[in-house]
Amino acid sequence: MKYLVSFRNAFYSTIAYRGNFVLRLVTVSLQIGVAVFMWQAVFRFSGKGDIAGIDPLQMTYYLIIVNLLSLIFSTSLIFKFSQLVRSGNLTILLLRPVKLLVQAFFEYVGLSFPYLIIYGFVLVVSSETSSQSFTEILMTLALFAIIYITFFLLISAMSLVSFWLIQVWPMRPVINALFMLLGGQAFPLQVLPQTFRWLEYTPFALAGNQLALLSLGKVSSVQMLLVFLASISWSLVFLILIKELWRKGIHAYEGVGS
Amino acid sequence: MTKSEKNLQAKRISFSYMTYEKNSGLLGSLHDFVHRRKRAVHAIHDISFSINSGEIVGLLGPNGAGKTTLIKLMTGILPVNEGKIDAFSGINPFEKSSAYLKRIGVMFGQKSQLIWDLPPIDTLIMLREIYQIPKPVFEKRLSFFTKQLAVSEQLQIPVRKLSLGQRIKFELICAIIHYPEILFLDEPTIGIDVSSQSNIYRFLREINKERKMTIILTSHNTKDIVALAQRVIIIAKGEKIFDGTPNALISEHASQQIIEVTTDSPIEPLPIDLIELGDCHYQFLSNDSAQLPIALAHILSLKRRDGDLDEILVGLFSKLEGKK
Amino acid sequence: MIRLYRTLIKQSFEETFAYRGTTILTIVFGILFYAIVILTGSVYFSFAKDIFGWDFTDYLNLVTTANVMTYLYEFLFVQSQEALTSQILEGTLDYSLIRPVNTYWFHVLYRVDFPSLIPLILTVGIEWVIIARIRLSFSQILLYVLIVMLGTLFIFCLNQIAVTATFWIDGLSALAGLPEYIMDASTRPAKIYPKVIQVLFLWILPSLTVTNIPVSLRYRTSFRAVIWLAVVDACLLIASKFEWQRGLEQYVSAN
Repeated sequence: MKYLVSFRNAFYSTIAYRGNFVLRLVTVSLQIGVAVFMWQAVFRFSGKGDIAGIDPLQMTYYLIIVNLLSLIFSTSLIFKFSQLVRSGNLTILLLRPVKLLVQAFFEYVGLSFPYLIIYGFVLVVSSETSSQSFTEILMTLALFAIIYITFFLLISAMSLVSFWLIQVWPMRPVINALFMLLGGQAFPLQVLPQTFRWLEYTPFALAGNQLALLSLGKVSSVQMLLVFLASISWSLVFLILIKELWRKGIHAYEGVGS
Repeated sequence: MTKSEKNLQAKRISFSYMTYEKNSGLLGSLHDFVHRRKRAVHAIHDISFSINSGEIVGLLGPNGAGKTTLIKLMTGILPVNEGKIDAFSGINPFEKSSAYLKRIGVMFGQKSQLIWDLPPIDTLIMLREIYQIPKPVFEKRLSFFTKQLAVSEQLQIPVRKLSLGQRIKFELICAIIHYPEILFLDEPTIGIDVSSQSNIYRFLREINKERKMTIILTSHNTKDIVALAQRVIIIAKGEKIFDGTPNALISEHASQQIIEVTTDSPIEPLPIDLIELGDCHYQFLSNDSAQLPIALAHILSLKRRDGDLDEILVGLFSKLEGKK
Repeated sequence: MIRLYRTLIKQSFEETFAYRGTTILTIVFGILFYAIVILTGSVYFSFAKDIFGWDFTDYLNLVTTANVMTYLYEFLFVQSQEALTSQILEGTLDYSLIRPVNTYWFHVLYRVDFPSLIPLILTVGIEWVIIARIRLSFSQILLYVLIVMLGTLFIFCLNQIAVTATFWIDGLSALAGLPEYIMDASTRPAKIYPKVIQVLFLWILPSLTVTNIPVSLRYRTSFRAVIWLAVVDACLLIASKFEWQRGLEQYVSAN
């Protein structure tokens, strides 16, 4: 199958640059360390045993998982697509008999595959603190799959701005920042006052915050349903957005250098 | 400046470089940083020549012969291992003194120095400051160059929107905006159309004549050499094998006339002297062997003609390949 | 050299307008990023009014100072380093080798990033208010400015060393992001970290010194740390120039 090749190539490219792979794990460990130490200090000086129902050990697991998720939900597609547009090589891809979105999805899975394996491993280790039933684990996996697709569609829609922007690198810190804040990388959104709780259903929060809480068994079935509905709705919005942006963008595309 | 004044002199120069066997991964790379496994490659071996002011010299040779390396030695990008290069009577190019760098101009046909998202004028203004050219002088030169090369209109258009030919012309202007005494051109006409090529030839001949600018060029395109060079130096496998005028080259080697042969069936294995032109169609230099390298019974037709520079070079290079 | 730098700045300005979309994004997102960091801090301090003797004003001072240095670094150097990375990767440095100028400084000063100027001005303004509030003396303010300059130089050196490493390790794009992560991790009170980490990043690679010392000026003045920072900066600068020379040799031989 032609799309499996995209998966394989992307998977190999993550592995082949071992140095990059290791460094990425190092930097993520660094981020985890920073957040864990900060929260330990907050726990210590607040004099509280738990914050928003999360105790210090759970907070540590939460921070590890949410940071791993930030690796899985990679944004590199945005920069790859920008490169294609800028170099004019997109023209070559357009001539191939493939659905670009499907191909990109397989590439996306391939890129994050090694991190998915690590994520699975951490889930097994951390499951001791959550004691989930078999059906709950199945539900968790199903929600993970749906949110994974939602996030992919979000990134795809974002990458299409390359049709209009010559340089996209300023977006990188911003996406990181969005994941940090809305994704719950710096703190679980549950610690926010009630008026901000709707933020939990934004795409970044679904991918980071909700999935991390889910694996700690901290999400009720009602919330699971809400997460599921939010994810489906966002997917629809992004699909429509992709369609529109693609239609307009391809007109704007100059075919530079082709 | 008299015609016979020497611009550049190479005395028995050799250059070999180390290639590093690369280790992979971060640790491997860190290891490479400190300690690397080396292998020597002899790119230039015992070459001497001298180039006078105002000459146009073509450097020819097959791929990997050492032409670009030689240019890099002369421009001072690389140091010679043995021998000596002497520029303008007393300067060693590798010292990269700004006094030397200001007197040379370089154009690498396969690399660009134009700023991609800005119009060519911006790169040129930057060069004006780098080479400290007075403004009025700069303006005058620029308008002369752009007029000669028919690119005045494109001066204000972003480089990414220019055609390849227009870009190459601006690359050339960048290389000569400070009126260097020696101009090095490495593959200057690669990938551009015939009319742009002849435009560039005319322009180069003119500034060579008016400014007595020495021009040293390498090219795969023998048309470049025929159109421009008053002298050719042929290098193969790092050694100089010919140094003289194009006419001398032709008369020396075209005495070897070319015989074209058509046969009734493909010849296998192919003798070393024989070059395949097409199906059952071959050629060889007439004095390469006293006899036909093909059995008479297979020959359908025979034709004798004089070779042009291209064919002389193909013959010469393939003969060298055979020797080694 | 000054006239050349003026030309390069002018070109940066033109490019800023050629990339209007990017410019606006850089400004908006630059400010957004700063806002997010402050928000994160306010969450921490909503649970504890005092963390290792620091209150929210100190935290605000910390992130604002760190951002002033980061934006100043971005304004002066980030575009040049982006351009340099791609030139090394694409193998288009040949022309740099034949220019009658100092190539190190040419590439370091090749571009300025005008969009970063806006968040820079904003954070400087906020810092002004903070300084007025915590009542630093004139000499303390002078020291503060000196540390900010040394800190900016420190960030520049870390990044320059990472970028120049591209000469040897081309597949290692994540390396270029490492200085950013280090500075990000340093935008926290040093005391939250275990002793080993504190010693490492206060004295050996003094990224915590860079961010923490300006804040502690409110309580005490540590000349020793400032002098040490200057020494480290000088060493890093020398190391980066040495690496550049080695890199060019590597570049030439690799072609």
